[in-house]
Amino acid sequence: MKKLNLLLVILFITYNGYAHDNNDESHEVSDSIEILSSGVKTDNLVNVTTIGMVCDFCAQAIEKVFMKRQEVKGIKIDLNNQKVVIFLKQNILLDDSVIRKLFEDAGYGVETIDKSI
Amino acid sequence: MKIAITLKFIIILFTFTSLVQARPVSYVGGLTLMSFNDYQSNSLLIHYTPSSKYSLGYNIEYWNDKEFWINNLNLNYLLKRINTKKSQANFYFKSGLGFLYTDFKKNEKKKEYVSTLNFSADWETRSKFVSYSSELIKSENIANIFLQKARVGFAPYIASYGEIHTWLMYELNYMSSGDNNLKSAAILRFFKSTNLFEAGIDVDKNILLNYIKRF
Repeated sequence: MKKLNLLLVILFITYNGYAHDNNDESHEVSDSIEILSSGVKTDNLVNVTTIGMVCDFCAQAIEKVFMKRQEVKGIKIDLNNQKVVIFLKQNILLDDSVIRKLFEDAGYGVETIDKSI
Repeated sequence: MKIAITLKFIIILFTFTSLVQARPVSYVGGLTLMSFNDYQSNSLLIHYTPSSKYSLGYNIEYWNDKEFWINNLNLNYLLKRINTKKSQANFYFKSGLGFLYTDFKKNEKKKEYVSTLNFSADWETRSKFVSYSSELIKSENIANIFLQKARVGFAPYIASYGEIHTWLMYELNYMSSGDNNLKSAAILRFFKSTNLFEAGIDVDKNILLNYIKRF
């Protein structure tokens, strides 16, 4: 019973610590273009709406797969809205079929690819 | 026996010092290290994913009550993945072939071939999780085990990408052999970045510790 209580205490502490962060979630999302989870910001963006991206631990695969590509400078993942922003090197294009294949390799589907921004 | 104890110690030590069944197929080119430890067994598995459909692995595990080691090569195959806007479901087939070693006095033969077959499925959203797996472990004479595990879980809060994610889970575990063959456990799962850690306790107050690292 003591061990179970200890586990519940750990859960409580973790919950309280991160409940505060979640209150600021809308702010974090609005700033997401400015702060990359990896790499460097560029103006050459590809916005992707994904399908099935529900788990953070598994979504790490997207970062791993794209950051191996020479064309990619950085990537930003927004789990809350199922969006991924790919920051490409200047004057570099990445074909839609390649993007779809890379997402498939990471375990996810692609709903839309928007290069207009 | 001395070697067996040493290897068991290394597995347990690894678990404690470095920090569910989790998905056996990772991203293409991904390497995954997993360690699962509960009252039944301690295991260490490493697998490489050359394609989004399958992975190849090596598994070493020790069964506490039965006092045997299993060393085998694994082929893990993704049967079906269903991605929707708010969920993902996966169906896997896993197989293994290798050797079983034992020092148990009653067993005349100390080393024999062993094979494993496993079917598993999981479904999750950002706040709900369900999984089921069944596994058959069969050797020539010593091992004939049928295992089933089912889990349900929920996330008490929704964390953003890169933060610590917490899950509270309940696991039912059924093993075909043994006296006390149905057990349940409460499990806390945490993950951040490429690290996943689980700590749990079952009805007999046995501790469960699992760790997964993706490279």
